[in-house]
Amino acid sequence: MHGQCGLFFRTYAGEARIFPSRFLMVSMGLFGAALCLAPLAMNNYLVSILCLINIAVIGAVSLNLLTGFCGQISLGHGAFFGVGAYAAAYLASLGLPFLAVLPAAGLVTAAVGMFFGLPSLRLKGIYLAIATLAAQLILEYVFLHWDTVTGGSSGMAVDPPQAFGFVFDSDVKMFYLTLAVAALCVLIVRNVMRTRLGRAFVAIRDHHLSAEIVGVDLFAYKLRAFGISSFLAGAGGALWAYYTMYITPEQFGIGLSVSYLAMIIIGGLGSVLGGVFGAVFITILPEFLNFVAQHAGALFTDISGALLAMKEGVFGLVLVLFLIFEPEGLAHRWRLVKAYWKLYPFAH
Amino acid sequence: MKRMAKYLVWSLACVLALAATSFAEDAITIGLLSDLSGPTSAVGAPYSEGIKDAAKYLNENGGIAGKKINLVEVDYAYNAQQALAAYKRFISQDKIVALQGWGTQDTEALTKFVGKDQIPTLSASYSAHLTDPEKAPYNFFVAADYTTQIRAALKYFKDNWKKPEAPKVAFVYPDHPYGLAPIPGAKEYAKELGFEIVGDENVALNAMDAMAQLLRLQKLAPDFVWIGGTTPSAAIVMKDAQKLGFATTFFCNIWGVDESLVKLAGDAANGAYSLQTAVVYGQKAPGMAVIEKMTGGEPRMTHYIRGFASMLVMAEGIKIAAAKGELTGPAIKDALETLRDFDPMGLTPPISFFPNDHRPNMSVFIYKVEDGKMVEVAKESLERKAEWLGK
Amino acid sequence: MEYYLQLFISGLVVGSIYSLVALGFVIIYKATKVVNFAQGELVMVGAYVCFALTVQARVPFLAAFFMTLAFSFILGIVIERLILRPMIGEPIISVIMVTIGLSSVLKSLVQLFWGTQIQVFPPVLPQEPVMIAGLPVAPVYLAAFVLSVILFLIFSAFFKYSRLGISMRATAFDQQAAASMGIGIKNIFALSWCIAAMVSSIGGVILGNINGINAQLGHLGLKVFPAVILGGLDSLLGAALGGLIVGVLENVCDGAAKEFLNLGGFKDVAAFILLVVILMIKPYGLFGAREIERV
Repeated sequence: MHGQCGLFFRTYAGEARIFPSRFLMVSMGLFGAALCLAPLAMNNYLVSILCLINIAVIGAVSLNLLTGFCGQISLGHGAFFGVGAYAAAYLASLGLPFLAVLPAAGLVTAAVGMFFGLPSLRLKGIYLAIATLAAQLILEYVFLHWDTVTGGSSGMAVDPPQAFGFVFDSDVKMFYLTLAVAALCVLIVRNVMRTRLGRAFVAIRDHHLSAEIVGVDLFAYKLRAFGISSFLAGAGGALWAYYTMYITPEQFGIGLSVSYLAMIIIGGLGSVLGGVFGAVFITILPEFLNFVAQHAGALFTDISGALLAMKEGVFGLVLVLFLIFEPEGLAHRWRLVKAYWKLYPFAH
Repeated sequence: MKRMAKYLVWSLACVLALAATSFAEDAITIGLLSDLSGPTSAVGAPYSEGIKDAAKYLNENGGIAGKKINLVEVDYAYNAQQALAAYKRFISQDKIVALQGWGTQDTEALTKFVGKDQIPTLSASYSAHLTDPEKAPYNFFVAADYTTQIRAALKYFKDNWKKPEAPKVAFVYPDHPYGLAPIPGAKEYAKELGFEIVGDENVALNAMDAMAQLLRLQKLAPDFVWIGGTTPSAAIVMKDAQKLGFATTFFCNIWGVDESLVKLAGDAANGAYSLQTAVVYGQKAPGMAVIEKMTGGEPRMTHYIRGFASMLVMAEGIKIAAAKGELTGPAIKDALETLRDFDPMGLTPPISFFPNDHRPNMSVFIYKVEDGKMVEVAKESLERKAEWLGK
Repeated sequence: MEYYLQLFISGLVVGSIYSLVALGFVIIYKATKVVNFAQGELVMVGAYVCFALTVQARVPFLAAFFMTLAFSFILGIVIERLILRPMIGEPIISVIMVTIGLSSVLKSLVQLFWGTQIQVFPPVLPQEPVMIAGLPVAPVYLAAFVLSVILFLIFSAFFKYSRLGISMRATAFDQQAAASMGIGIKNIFALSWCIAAMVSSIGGVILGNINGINAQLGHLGLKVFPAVILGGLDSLLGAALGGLIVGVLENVCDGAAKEFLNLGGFKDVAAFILLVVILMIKPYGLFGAREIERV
């Protein structure tokens, strides 16, 4: 395409492409290759952080689908994660192989998610958020009390996953597995947003009355959003169960839901890339703070204790600062950086 | 924007420069997971202080086998994911040989990992199922587990029960893994001893009132009521019982009665029994003199003393392993399993671990709260029964 | 039957504390349409400041109480100015997250200054329980009940009859129209946060008198949500009644669940389940104003 200045599209299909330009495709390929080779250069701790990031990406991107793209505020995502984890643990204990458990856990969570999405028929905004908070607490109660299935207070142990003849029992192997599933989830969400379904979601978020007039069945599409988002959250939860090998009800509390919300807000609402950025940021933040506290502690011994205890405060402070100075999140900042490079020396 | 970026880069550079300052080689690195800012920080902070002070004491007295202890602490704020990440860092970067854990969240999440990586772990989560080496081969702790604590109290009460009719007992506990876990074993033993179990109630750990539950219990008139919570919920139960005129004998475990209960519940706490597995600050014990010197005579909670003892026990295991010339995880675990009646400077009852039984001891100190102070009234020791292991 | 009556009264008693906290919540929402997830932490800060003044600085209680109110006033101004003002016009989810972040920051600051130990308040009110229908009730709960009624009456009158109160409602309804009428929007915002912080401090002092204070006091904020939503986010009457209703519901459902279904620990979940059911019938809460949406 000689003589073409910039990126413009002549067909709808072209506009909807995920990687509109060759440069993007090549960079994505290089990035993917670097990611796959990364474990060779990193120690086990860093690889485990990458595994946690992958699982967080699944959670964040699925929540972004529901809250960022469809506008339904959900405070129950942590519990849906837990449903996936427990479903996976239970099905694994029945003897099902990993490749069957992962989608099955997703389906179970999708059903639960759609059930708790029923209030969206009548409720909007903060009221819906509270209804999802109720879902979070109810599910926590179920985790603790449904002894026969969830093991109640003692939790459940899960064996490492086996697929294609491999046993994924090391951090490096789990990294590749979680990377594959995370990449698949991101692709699913990105593709959903390219279709009619995705456009309906955005319409519901922006102007639901107009959407209804145009012919979007609000309730049906909201339920679908809950369903797809919960399916992915369930898959993420299943991966978490396989990774930590021991799940207890306390792991899926309101704190987890809040941290997912923080991920999508800091990353950028309504953007798949935002979900990824947010997941990376929030997962790395406590480790970074530990690192600083440790080494500041080597120099000023008494500060380290105080610094360690301030982690939650720093998390809150970072959240507040981001919202004040960068309300559209890291994805927006990323776009600005790209524009700066592209348009240099002109202003963007 | 440019200025902000410049500041960020500068501060990052400073931090990385700091990172260049590494710590001593040829030290014994032990990981320490604490809760200093999360929901259990009120008791987690003194416990972690106890461990750190014990390490300091040991280092001041020559360390272990000539090497200094290097404690690497992470505050995981009772969050399983952070505990996991911290553990991975301990294993791959700090190369720890042993781990001091804290509560249910981290200990449960890490059980399989410490087993796989062979890192002996001492924790403050005294759940009975961690004492079974079949399920948790690398987990230890230095206090009698929760169920044993209840059993010891039940035996003490039954032995001192003078009336002809069967004593009635009720259980109050939070709807939470910590509260639910010891109840089945406790009920079984209570029935065995001849108690009549009259009821159970749930009082949440953060409850503000327990009137509804106590109204129901009062009608059943139990003689003894077990409170399985932590000090705030125990205080609420005792205060509400006092208001209702509900006269009964309460008994709680180490997390239910400590120095702050007396502060919170005032005279409603008088007459309550407390199960402790370590001495109280100021009691006569060889280790207490050391602790009093280190803390300048300022009282510390029982959790501090248990943390101190936990570090002493771990140090003993490391010493035995070092004497054989191997400072590795499995060697330390085997060394710990050779401990027979090890006495951590008199701070806890003697501790013995066996390859097939990780229960430290079956001894519990029984304290009674009298006039706002915890007074030791008995030491109850149970038989090390095999069928109780893990329950 | 008497048992359920006692549960009812006990629920009213605990519910009055919820009402107290819910009032602060609704005041902020009524004036600024901000959902404040940091309300529990404001209660905690009020309790700690009062504790610091009475116990650590040995100031007599009444003086300490007024100093706490003054501190809360300033805290409200600081929060509004630094954190909420930049968030004007942002989507509701962002504002919610800012308040969540604020709650973490406040909790950390409290832990930094006062540590994580449980602290005990000096008993200010008499400790002898009062008998109501055979149920002993501690005077501190009665004080909470009386205070929430008084505050509810004061604020209802304030919002209905005083110029300032009407200005606040106008600002919440339509900021631009209010500004064009000459109402100082920024001052209104600051004032609403100050009032809410002061009301929360009162709640904190009461709460501190019940079972001591520690940094986990902020969890109360979560419990108050059903009360606020049930009553309707912008209704003071709803907040006051919602708190009482939730308190009663919790206790009665707990009793019923134990008796008929033998389910333990139902207390905490009961309120939320019933909340969802009631919301499905009345989506804006029992007394909330129906939001009119236009295309």
